[in-house]
Amino acid sequence: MTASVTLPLHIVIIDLAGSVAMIIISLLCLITARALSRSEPDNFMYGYLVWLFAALFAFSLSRSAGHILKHLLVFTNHRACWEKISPISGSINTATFLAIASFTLFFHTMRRIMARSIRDKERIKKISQELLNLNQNTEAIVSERTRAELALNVAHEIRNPVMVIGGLARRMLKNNLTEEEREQRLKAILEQADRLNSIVKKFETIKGDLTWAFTRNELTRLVEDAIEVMRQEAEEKGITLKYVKRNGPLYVEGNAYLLKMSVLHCIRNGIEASMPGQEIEISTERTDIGALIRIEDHGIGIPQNMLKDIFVPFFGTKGKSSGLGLSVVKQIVEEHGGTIDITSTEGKGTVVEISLPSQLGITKTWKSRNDQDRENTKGKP
Amino acid sequence: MDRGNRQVMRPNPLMRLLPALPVILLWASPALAFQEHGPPEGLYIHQLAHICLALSMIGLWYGIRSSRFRKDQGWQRMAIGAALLTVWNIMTFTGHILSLYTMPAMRQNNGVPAWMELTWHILKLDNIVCVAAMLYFYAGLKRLLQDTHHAAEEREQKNA
Repeated sequence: MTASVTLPLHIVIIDLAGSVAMIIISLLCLITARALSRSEPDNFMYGYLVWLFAALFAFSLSRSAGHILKHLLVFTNHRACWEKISPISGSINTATFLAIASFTLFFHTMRRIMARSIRDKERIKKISQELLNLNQNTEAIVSERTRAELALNVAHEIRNPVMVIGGLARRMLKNNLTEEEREQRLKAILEQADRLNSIVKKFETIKGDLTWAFTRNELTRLVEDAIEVMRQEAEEKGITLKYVKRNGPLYVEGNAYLLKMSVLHCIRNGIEASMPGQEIEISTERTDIGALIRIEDHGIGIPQNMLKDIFVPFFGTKGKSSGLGLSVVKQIVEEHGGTIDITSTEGKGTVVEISLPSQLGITKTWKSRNDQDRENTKGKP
Repeated sequence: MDRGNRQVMRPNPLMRLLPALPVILLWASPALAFQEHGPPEGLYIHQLAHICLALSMIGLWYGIRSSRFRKDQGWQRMAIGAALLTVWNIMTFTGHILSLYTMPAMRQNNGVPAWMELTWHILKLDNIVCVAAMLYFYAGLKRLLQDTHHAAEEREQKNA
């Protein structure tokens, strides 16, 4: 039908030139789409583009090669041969059109799902940040209130004995007392001193015993969970968290939540001390008594004069911090029968080592490196 | 129960034919196991594929324009490419109808009007639109690749 119609020369030229151009450009498109997909392998849209341009390249090859072949075969008087090839070329074109339509439909569905998941991710991120801020504020408020409450309790409890002791002592200073009266007053002073001693003991026993809530936990999983919680915060600061699991599984007896919080706090300290581009290495390994968690950062480090007070409650190297963090971590670790060691070089980084026994009571004879150092330097000037 | 309100159930007339269905099916001649696919089917499916492609390209264009992608220059160029490919689809769809049905019939009868000849000639230049679409796609992809590299460099500089 159309074969009998002679096409003008300009249409033939445009058809041939266009056919060659289509093959070249579609090939370039496919190569670029592949490069794009390789640069961001997780980006599903770039994956879609690879499929789209692969189909468009197949279409260009089939259609354009078909057009060129048609001109050659008709020109060399092989029209019958072209009429055999033509349906194959046309069928491939049809197949590629349908393939492109399918990919695009899939792309639309995926785009909607992705848009929803991005919105959810952002919402979760926002909520997580709010929770973090709330947690820090709560920690600061609790710390301040605890301090105030403690001070008021101490003042209230020791006021009476101290006043009595003071009064008795002042009377004793007057020399007109008989020996009997002096003895009576000294006994009264001793009574008040005993009362003070019992108050001090009462404060010492405030710290409760948590061991009833201890269960058997797989430590590497707890550490992995803590790393996952902190990963987002680290990535936002351009810091990489690397986990090296030297042995595993490692079982310890304790409270999973408290142990996780301790590790999490040490990692957060590492993140706050590190610079963008740096790495924090967290490792776990089996030891003679149980397990060792090691958190090493290459951040600003802790000055030597501050290092000795690092576990003192309300002592902080950061201005706005409540200063309860590491003292609480130490308390938790010790409640689990473990030890915590911190070594740091200013400007080079800090290493936190938490050693935990596999069973409570196993470390009664175990001494941390800090304890050993203290014992070694005891008596030395 | 009010018997007066009860409706009398009458069987559907089509249901009466149901017993005759196996007989009709078995007596059909010629009885072929699969359907033959004659020559016009190829054109129909090809034209349907053109419609599918055009709709998918409209979908792609709309998807880009109605999402956050519209802010990216790379995706903007991709949207233009999709729009041009839709135009090309319409051109070829119309061209196929004119070439295979309308014009041969007219040539046999009163001849083809000049405006239709002109339209047909213009439609035969579809390669210009198709190549332009592909060029826009290529430009869009290049821009997306550049943006990705810039973003990676910025991340590296920030981390350094």
